Amino acid sequence: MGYQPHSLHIQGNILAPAIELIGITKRFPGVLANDNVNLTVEEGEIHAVCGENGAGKSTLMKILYGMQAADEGTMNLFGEEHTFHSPNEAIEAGIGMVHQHFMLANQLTVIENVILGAEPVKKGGLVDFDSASDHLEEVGKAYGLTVDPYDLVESLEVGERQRVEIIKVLFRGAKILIFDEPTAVLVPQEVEELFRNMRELKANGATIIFIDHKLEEVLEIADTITVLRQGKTVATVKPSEVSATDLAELMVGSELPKPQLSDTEASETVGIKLENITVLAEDERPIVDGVSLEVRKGEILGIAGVEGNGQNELVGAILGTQKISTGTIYLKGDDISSTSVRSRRENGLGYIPQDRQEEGLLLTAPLWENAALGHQTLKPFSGGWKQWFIDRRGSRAQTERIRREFDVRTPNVEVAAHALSGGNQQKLIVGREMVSKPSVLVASHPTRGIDVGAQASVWDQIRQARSQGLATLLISADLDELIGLSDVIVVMFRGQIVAELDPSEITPRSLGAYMTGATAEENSG
Amino acid sequence: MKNETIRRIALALAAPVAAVFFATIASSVFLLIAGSNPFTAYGDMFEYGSRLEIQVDILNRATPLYISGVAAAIGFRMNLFNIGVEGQYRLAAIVAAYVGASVSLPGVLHIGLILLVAMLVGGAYSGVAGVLKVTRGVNEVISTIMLNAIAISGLIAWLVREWQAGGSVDATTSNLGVGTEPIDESGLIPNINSWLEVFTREIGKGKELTGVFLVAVAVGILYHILINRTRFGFDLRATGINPFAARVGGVSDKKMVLGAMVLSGVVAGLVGMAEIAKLGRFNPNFVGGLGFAGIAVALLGRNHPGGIAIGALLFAFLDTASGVLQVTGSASREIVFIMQGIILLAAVIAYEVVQRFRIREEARLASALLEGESQ
Repeated sequence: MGYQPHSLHIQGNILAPAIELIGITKRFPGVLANDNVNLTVEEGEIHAVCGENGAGKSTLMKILYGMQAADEGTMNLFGEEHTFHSPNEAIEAGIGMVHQHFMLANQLTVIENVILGAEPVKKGGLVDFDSASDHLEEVGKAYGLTVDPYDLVESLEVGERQRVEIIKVLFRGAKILIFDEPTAVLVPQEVEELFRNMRELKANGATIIFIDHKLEEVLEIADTITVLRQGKTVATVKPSEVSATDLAELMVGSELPKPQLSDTEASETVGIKLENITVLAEDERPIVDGVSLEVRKGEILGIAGVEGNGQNELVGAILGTQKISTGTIYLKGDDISSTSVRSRRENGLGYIPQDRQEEGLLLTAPLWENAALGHQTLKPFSGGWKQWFIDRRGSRAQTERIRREFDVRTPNVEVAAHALSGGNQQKLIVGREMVSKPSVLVASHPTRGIDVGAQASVWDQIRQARSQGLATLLISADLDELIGLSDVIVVMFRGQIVAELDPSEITPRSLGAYMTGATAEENSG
Repeated sequence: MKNETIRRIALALAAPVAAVFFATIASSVFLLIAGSNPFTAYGDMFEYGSRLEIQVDILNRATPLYISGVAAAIGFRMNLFNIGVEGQYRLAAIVAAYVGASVSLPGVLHIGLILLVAMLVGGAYSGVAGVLKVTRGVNEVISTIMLNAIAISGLIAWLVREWQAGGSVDATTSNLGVGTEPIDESGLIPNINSWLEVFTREIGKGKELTGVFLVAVAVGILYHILINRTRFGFDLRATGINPFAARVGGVSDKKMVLGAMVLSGVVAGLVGMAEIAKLGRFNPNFVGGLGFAGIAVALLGRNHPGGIAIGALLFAFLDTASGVLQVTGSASREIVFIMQGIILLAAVIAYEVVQRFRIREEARLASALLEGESQ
């Protein structure tokens, strides 16, 4: 191929669009991921591609970036037809991908990360850091991105790390940047910073494809919006011509469901109570710092916070997987601070983990075994006179029940969990926790990464359980979900609870301010 | 449903059949390179292996291999690599032989005591690795390798001297009486020739089918029940598949590590029992290497009780039948080591391929169902 990225414009047709995808079709076993998709991106514009999870956005981007080959269709860049067999070829042709999950080595410096895999070499085979950092500075200046090349990546904030990702891509001469859900990991203030950067990039001639499903953001930043639904392009519109509601309807074919609660139904009985819980990290620094809270039966307490502010450790402390250094946990009035995970679960603590594949499922085991996990010591999974044995018949029957009541789409309960789609896996997990009628539920990002339909059904289940007297602790990064479902919201920042808010009086934006700690410092100072 | 059962069985058989097929071809290439005719070599081995007396030898060899395979498999089932079966069974054997020789009891009790001591010693010794892992985070591969060295060239070498039976010359072996005191007849597990002879003719040439064969069968059945039917087995498998999910599901990983490690050692303790029954004591003729072979057998059998049996029989057949190659001169007997290695490698690859196919197939079925419903 031998393209020099910087001379792309000269080689290509100046009038041709930067990217032209025509009739792209990609089949996976049983799924038509992309069905005759057409996408035209003009040079120097920010083009948003939106759609629900599973609409085919990621597949399309993987094809564009050379990670997967299309079954049908053609791809033109600046008027020239291309077929990529690997990301390297895409990079050579001037395409760069800013991944949602950062691909950075934390123990290396910014400059080391940027040149990784494309190290400039001086005589004697040594890495030429000087010319690299000069180039880095040039690139940074050209696009208005600043970052100290000799900072360790682990010392950077999330937003800065993202900037490193962007610079890394520009450093390799990318003229077309693909942003894969870049705002998913950012708080509202950081999103603004990102958008400033994106506009700067655009002003300097870069072409940007932006994948997102947060409609307000799309409307704010995009010049053109293409909507995908079930693998097909359903519309290409200008943000000035549409409202968020229009976009939502285009995406799902009907209006987006919103989580909503009926009036407060909380009783006086406390389901779970934490008193002054502190969890120490390996370096003796408190990750959870004197947290006290209580959730009454029939109440949903939402915990907001930027990831990494102690929420996971707090969940671990409640569940019993994390050692607490001080404090007491009461489950239905009993001190459970030093009991085992198993005894807590047997006493009615349900748990929906934040990462279903990592913490929730035995992927290679059949569904009925997955349904038993966490409840294997109780009926109907075991128990009775054969308490040391798994009741296979009872387990299967229970799994059938979960499948029916929670609409888990599966051929039967014998298939392995990995055969199910993410939404169905999540429904299985929610189902197994709910059918055991827990008195307290810890739900950590219960709808992360599942489609709108499954999301609505999970919300329904949580709401229903609430009206039956379940005490729920809800941790979520989806602020709409938090505000819509919670009776009370507390904000965690650096391991502490810095605010207690009434969800009826706040917006995602004001919640975002609390989450970054800005408001807390103002209040206390 | 019936079709599905057939499919499942076909899928389960695809991998081992493909592996043996590929291994046969690859071994033939090696035989050809070595200047031997593969057909004659295989022919000789099969002809030799079809004799009843040789089949008894094969079963005698397969018995400890199977027990050793199950011992390793218990660890594998939760991603614990008990490399220490080797040291565990040898240490268990010498202690059991010593204890067995120092008491005099009626038959069943005597044998029971010896087996019990062997299991306890095996379990205790592997338990050391378990405790180290649970309390200090020492990787079990490293600790069991170290414990092997300590057992084999340390403890056993010392115990053999310590418990040496007063320099008496053992008429049946050429060794100068190095070994523990002989165990009374009552403590020796009898052969079960009569059981086999029900189905066949009389076994000749002083060949004896070890009674430990029955112990191996019992171990297999208990292993199956424990792993696939009990809560302990469920916890163990869950930890093996996904330790994080098992943990939040209430499984204590420390207890499981310790439990699996000890259990693996308990089974390992039985590996040397056939040999003790044959020798009547622990002496330098005591066979080594069964622990390492067991790891291969467990891998070949995919930790499945039936699969391990097939693996053990296959390896035992190769080990035993290869003896004839020397006699007929059709090939060098070392070719079987190459064959065993290739079979193992081919099996690992074939299982992986079939597994991927199975995953794709299941995902396809599940999503086909979804499409069907949405229409």
